[in-house]
Amino acid sequence: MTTVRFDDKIVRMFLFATLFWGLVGMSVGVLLALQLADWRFNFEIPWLTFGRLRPVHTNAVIFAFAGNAIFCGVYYSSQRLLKARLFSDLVSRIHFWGWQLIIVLAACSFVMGITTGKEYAELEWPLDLMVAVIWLLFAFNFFATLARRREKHIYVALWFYIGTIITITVLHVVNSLAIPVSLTKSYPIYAGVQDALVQWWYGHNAVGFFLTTPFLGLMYYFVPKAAERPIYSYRLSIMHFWALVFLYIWAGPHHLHYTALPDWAQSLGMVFSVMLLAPSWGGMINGLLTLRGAWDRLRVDPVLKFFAAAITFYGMSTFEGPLMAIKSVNALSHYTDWTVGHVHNGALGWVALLIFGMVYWLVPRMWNTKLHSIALANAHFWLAMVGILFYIVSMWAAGITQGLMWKEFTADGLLAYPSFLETVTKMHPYYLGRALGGVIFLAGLIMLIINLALTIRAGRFSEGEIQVPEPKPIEHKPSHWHAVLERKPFLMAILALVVITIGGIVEMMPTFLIKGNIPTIASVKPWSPLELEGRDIYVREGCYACHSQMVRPFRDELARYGEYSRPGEFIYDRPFQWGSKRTGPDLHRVGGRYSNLWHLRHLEDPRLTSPGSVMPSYAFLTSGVLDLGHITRKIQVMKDLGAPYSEEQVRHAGRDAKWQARGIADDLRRNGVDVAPDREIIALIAYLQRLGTDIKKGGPL
Amino acid sequence: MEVLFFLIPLSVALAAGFTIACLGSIRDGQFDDMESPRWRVLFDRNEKRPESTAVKPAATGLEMRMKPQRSEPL
Repeated sequence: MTTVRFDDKIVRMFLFATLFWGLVGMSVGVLLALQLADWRFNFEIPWLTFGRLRPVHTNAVIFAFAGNAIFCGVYYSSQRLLKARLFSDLVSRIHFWGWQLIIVLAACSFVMGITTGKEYAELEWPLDLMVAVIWLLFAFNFFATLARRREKHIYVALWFYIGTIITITVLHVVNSLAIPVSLTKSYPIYAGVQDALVQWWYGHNAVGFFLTTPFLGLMYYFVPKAAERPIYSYRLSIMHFWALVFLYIWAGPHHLHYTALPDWAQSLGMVFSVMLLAPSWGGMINGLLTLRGAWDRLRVDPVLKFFAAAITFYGMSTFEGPLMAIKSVNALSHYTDWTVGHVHNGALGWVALLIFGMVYWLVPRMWNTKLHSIALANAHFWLAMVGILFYIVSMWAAGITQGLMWKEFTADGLLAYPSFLETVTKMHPYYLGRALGGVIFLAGLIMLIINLALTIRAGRFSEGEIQVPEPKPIEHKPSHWHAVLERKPFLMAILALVVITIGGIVEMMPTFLIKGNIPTIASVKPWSPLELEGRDIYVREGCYACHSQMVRPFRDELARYGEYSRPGEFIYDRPFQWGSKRTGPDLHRVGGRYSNLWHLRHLEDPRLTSPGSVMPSYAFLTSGVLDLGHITRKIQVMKDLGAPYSEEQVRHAGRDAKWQARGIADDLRRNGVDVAPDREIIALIAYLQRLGTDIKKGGPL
Repeated sequence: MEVLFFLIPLSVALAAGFTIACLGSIRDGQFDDMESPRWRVLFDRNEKRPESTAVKPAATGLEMRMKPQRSEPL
């Protein structure tokens, strides 16, 4: 017999990081909730405006809180399932510190306005590269451990980890392809509709393969361990895995219903989203039934309470998701807070509760002691429940209310709420309810941290070890194809990759290859240098977090905004800025609707032109001087990517920008306001005034 | 749009192929040995934490260390 000692120190490091970043990410979330309830929480500090903080929150809770929890749980469970210590302590440490460095740099870059402007993929290219390297190190460490395992069979949890590692690699690389302009700015190689499709193929699968499959793997390990019961059905868990891997990859277009995306792609996304209900609920039932015979322990064991609730929320959000992916439901729900509620249903209910259960189970074991206070953990559980309830009920009410208000017509056939602002002020009580829910949930997390800190103080950390027989040749009996497959992790990894790639390619390639999908409109011209700079400011400030640029072909949107958006209008948009939420109105047809002066006033103090608005004040754009240092390079990159700029336009980009800025500044002066033409706000106004106007120049459509 | 006539049958064929393979393997009894793995995951009870690092055995309750809240036999 030999002794195998597990590397539990790395598990401990990731566990601490999980709790720390959970606290940070959720605190920022609470601040954002307060900002929507009262704009003054933006503090008129550029770094703390909603648009810049929102990616800090989303990235912190997804990639820092959930990410570190994945690494913590995967490293703990894999070593035990494979009966082997992790392949390399050094790689594990580089993985840990590399990931934390990325998180810190990401948070700094977002508050500074360094962002790609693609939701859940906001990291700029140097950080994207770092993520790829660290993720591949994690993959290497995992697969190398898998290769020297002392257990023939690959337990179902490990498959979920394999699926996660492979898919996230592909998603991240494909979606991050961009041409750098400088160290802090790049333009994606995809434009408009194509960018939107790639982004939401990524975006949806980030949910699927970062917030679902790894946590299902953790569920299939930690729930049986905590319940001391085997999985209800191993067979069902296998089907759960394969069906999920196969179906998830097709569902992305449901984020783009009724947009300028080709109709067939929308239908494809919808059908596969509805199909996803089957494996998801199979997995939920499998998880819940694992607790059969242990239901009585739910009363006394907080770990099982958290697990049972997490699995139930998994069932709820995987029912709500397909429901919202149905086009007629989506027509109402999209761009409203219902989407935000759905996301938090999964994030707070499924991911966070599962993580809480996992750490409540892990810490007493790793520190050889008992949980400090079961009562405190129970109190945390109920606080979490109440917090989630406040959150998602507020968001359901807010989303459905606002969606119905947007679509309401009077008997005379006019919009019942012609001012978008009316629908915003109506949201106020719901936004307060959501903030309250967030505060309660955060309070629960703080109780968890206190409870675990006291547990750790009372205990003594040690690494687990097991006795294993001396290595002997594994008797190999090739039997069923599935069993054969399970013993060959690399073959299985490749097969999973093939399945995923086919899904992705078939979905995306037609848009790349078939010109007919994107009819180019003759009157649509590339952005002028100043407008491009203005657009980059729009991206920098995260305007897309609250404003869409996509008028859908509905009667109410035509009446409210104007012509619906055509695919051909976006061919120079890198990145696309269609958005996914309308806290404020759509901006695609805002060009020419208001005067330059109105925009200036509105940006400096939104309450001046729109009383009751929750938009932050952007007065700092009036003092900020526009940096034209990269303009030639920017126009050159755009030209290289296919925008028809002439050599002359590239060479004189700076001069043209200054000339256009002077025109706007002159117009403002004629109206009684003096703004220097070199200010950032001038560029932003230039961009806003151009938005969606080209199509009108081409005569009748 | 013609690509639709290629895409939907292809994706349905892929899904159907996978379903058939899965159902077929169930019918062939290929998942009959799917019982032991789900039990084996529970059997790492021989996992120990070295005595040398645990102090004050009486105070930390070493007898409870692996199963602090176990209330009934398996």
